[in-house]
Amino acid sequence: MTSLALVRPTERPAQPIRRQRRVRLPRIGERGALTIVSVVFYVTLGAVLVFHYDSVMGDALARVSDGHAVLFSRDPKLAAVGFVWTPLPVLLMLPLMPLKFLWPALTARGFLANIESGIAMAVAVGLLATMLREWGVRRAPRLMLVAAFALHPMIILYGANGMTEALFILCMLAVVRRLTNWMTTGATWQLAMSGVFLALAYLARYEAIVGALACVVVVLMVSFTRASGAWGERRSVAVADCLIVGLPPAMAFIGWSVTSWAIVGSPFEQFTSNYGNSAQLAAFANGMPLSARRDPIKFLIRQVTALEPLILLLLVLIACYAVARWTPRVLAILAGTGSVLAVQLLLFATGHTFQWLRFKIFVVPMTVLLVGCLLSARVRREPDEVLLAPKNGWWMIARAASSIALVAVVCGPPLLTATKAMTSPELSREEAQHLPGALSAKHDPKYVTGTALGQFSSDRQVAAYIDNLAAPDGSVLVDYAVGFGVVVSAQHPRRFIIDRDRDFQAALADPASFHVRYILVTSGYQDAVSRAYPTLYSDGANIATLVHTWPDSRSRGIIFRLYHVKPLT
Amino acid sequence: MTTPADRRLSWSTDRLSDSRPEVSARTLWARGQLRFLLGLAVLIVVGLLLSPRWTGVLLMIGCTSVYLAVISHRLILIRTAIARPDMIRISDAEAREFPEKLLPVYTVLVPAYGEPEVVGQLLANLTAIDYPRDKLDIKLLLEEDDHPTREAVAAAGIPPGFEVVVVPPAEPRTKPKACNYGLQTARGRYVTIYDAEDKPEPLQLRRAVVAFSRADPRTACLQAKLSYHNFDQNLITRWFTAEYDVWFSYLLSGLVGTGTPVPLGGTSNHIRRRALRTFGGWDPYNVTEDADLGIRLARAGLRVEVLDSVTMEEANSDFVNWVKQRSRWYKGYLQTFIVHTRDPRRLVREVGLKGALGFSLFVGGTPILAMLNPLFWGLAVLWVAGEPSWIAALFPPVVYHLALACGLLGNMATVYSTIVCNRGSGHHRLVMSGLLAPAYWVMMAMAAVKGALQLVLAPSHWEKTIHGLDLTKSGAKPSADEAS
Repeated sequence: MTSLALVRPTERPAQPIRRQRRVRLPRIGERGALTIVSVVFYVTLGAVLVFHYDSVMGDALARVSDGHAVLFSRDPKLAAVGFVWTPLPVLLMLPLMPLKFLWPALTARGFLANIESGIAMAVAVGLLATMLREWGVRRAPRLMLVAAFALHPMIILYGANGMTEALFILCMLAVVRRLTNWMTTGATWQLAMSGVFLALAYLARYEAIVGALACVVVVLMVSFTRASGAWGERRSVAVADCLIVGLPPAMAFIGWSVTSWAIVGSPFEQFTSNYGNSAQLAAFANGMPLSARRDPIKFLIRQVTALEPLILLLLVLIACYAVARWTPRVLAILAGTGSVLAVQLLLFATGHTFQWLRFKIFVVPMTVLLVGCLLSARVRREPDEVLLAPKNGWWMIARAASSIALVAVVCGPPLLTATKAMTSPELSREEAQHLPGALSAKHDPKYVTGTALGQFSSDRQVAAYIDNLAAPDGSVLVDYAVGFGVVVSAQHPRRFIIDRDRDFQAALADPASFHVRYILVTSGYQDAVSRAYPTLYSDGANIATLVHTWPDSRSRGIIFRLYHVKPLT
Repeated sequence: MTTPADRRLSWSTDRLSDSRPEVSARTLWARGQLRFLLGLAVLIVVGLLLSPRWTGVLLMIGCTSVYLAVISHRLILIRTAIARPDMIRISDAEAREFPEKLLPVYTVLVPAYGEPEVVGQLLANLTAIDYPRDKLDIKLLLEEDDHPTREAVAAAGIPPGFEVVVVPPAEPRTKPKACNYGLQTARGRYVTIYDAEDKPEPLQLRRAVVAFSRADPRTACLQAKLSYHNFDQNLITRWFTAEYDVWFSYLLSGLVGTGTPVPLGGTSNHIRRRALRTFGGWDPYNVTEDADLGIRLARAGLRVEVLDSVTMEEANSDFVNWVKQRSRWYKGYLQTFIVHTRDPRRLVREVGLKGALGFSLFVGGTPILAMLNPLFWGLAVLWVAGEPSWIAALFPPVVYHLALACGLLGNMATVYSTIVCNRGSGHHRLVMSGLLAPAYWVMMAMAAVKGALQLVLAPSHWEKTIHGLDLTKSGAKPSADEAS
């Protein structure tokens, strides 16, 4: 019998031949399902915010208008993308931008930004599920953790409202995933991917540079301690690994700075320009609540613990755990998410940034990942436990229950506390201004002057007015930094000469001989037009006569005035 | 009356070109190809006269597309190699435990020309091969008029298993001709080639035998990996080693994984002798006969695999010498590309559309990429210098900027993938020199232009590479040979 088996090892038991044509549906899987559901959820909410409540975030509309300037301005060019803010969110929108001819609201209301943030956040949700599965977190606690992330009020809002937070979180989650994979497999390829995602993260948000530095430090430590051989050999391995993770973000940093320098003459527009961070900080200094100015540390703790009440406890738990059973995964999480949070806290404490609640959003993914890390550690310990404890039903139930309890205790409370914080004008001015109903009951003029719902409605009125004028292309002069909302919602964007056009300075210097018919100016901002003609807004500066003023009914503090340029005599 | 030696000589030089002229490089251009090139040139000239701007746009789009395609193809190959490492690995134990009785006779061809001082080293390296002496058929292929080398070999004494084959002088004087000559008296079931300065890993032949015994019968050739023992000599050898690492450990493996014809590397390719003879041996008119053979095997429906065993060579450490060697390689790649695209439809029929595309992007793309790279660097320099007006006149900004962005991204991707591959295969000490690779590309560009010019002026001229530059410290004189 044995010999027979040896001789004919390939013989298979006879099977009835069945040829059945089955319709094959593509397998979606957990990640795909979560992503699809989340896309629908976030984008629908975004539509409700934009179209029902007219809640348009200024930064979101500004990104859309940047892309709009690249493709549809009078002088379309890639350089019109703008160098104050990061290019990735705008570049990703470009392929969809032409759809505005089918559905003008995509750009006019900035809804394209909401679609982008919705997709990015949804992909982040799917990615989180994949990552937790790779770490060995079991299904029930894993899905709860994913839900705790996806349904966190801040995540919902920033998935829906078109801001770049979603893209930034997505990139950094991808970084953490690749870094932890590298730590478990040692595959250089994973390390390289984390470097590439760091570069993308930098092009999505400048804060990522801190994450990149933190990742390089972590890689240096892990690589050096793991390498074998003499000191010099270990150093050379560690340096190579650092280069692999650090080179892409460094190239992104250098590449973007050089591009900016070559096009607008300054490598770091985000800091130095009239519309950059420093200038905005000065402009908004008065908007900061008293409590934040008096005791910034306490204010920060209130904000962070409102988003994740048990974060401090969790950090203590993680520290104890790290002492008892070391895993470098914690380092990857802290480098990818904690570093970004830490630098925001530090910048605010030293007065270099705003009090916005959204700058602390990274506490949410950090918490979820840390809990996931704790749970995955239980999985790792399993083989010893199996020896000690028989795998009976009660033990299984107890273990599942404790996992679920941990997730519930850490991730449940923020659903309430974060919602409360986000509707508080003191703790979160921006979110409260943009959330429908947040200011109705407890609108306190001490913190905010009013709701930001409908803040771009006057821009749309201006656009409609100019659309109805008999103005040829290139006849309306406006600084894009204040007029982007007007231009992006106009039917004839080519009528505007904006500061990204190459002939803007010439037109500004001598509007009449440049055939400029109208100049659009605003109160409140020191834009290029009002710097050139300081009294233009109030009296026309002897070069123009007032045509129309649009009263500002909302909190943006901008009043548009359209002037008609006096013809040359 | 023809002697056996004459017959062997004529087989070596004319067998392929007589029996299958369509795949021989003796006459390089097919008529259709010449017509196509002439038509293209006329079109460009007329276009430039009629509308310089639109012709500029189309040329720029063309160059950018080729550049993008070649770079993307390489990244895909690397990705394939990482995801599914397609390389045959035979452990030391498996190689040693293979029953001695079953080991076949193995032919090793060692062409040498004008290098008497490496003879001692060569004999030592070859005697280190772990294979039964009586089953080794090592043939030292020496040219009849190369007296110094012949004397050096005679003085050193020929160990058992070695045989000196004297190749009669005849044109073309190339390495493949010598190998064809040696092949006719080869007794081995398998044949491999080593250069005079090669130091093969001792178990390589055994590994190849085990691999062949397990492989698909259609596997006609196993390419072992090449690396350099003198990589630390200077920056050029470091770059060269880094490049070879990516080439053999990732790109070739990626070609196997994607079902693309594999151009063989200069030495250490182990081939079934019968297949080799059936297909007429090496093309003596092609200056990269190894690459050409790989493609011909693929076109005949045979497979080439990569064997995880390393042969150490000497990296070219001298700038001029390097450019000469590289220009020959680029010329040979262009020759190979031209020969095998004479009848594109037939190529597609034989290796599939994917294989034909991959072949074009890899074998044609390598020298073309080296020539296109300076173009994109030039654009970048002009751009930083302030976009001169003729550029604005010739190219619309969108095209120009996209080309520029592709160039920069492509360059970054190339530097980065090289560094990652080097680290991945344990060459972490090469990583820092990888950052300076753009200077290496300047050398590549020079070699590519030289190779392309030579393709027109002297298609079968063999640029001699000087070997032994790593030995100069010990007082030995460098030598020139035809094998590199």
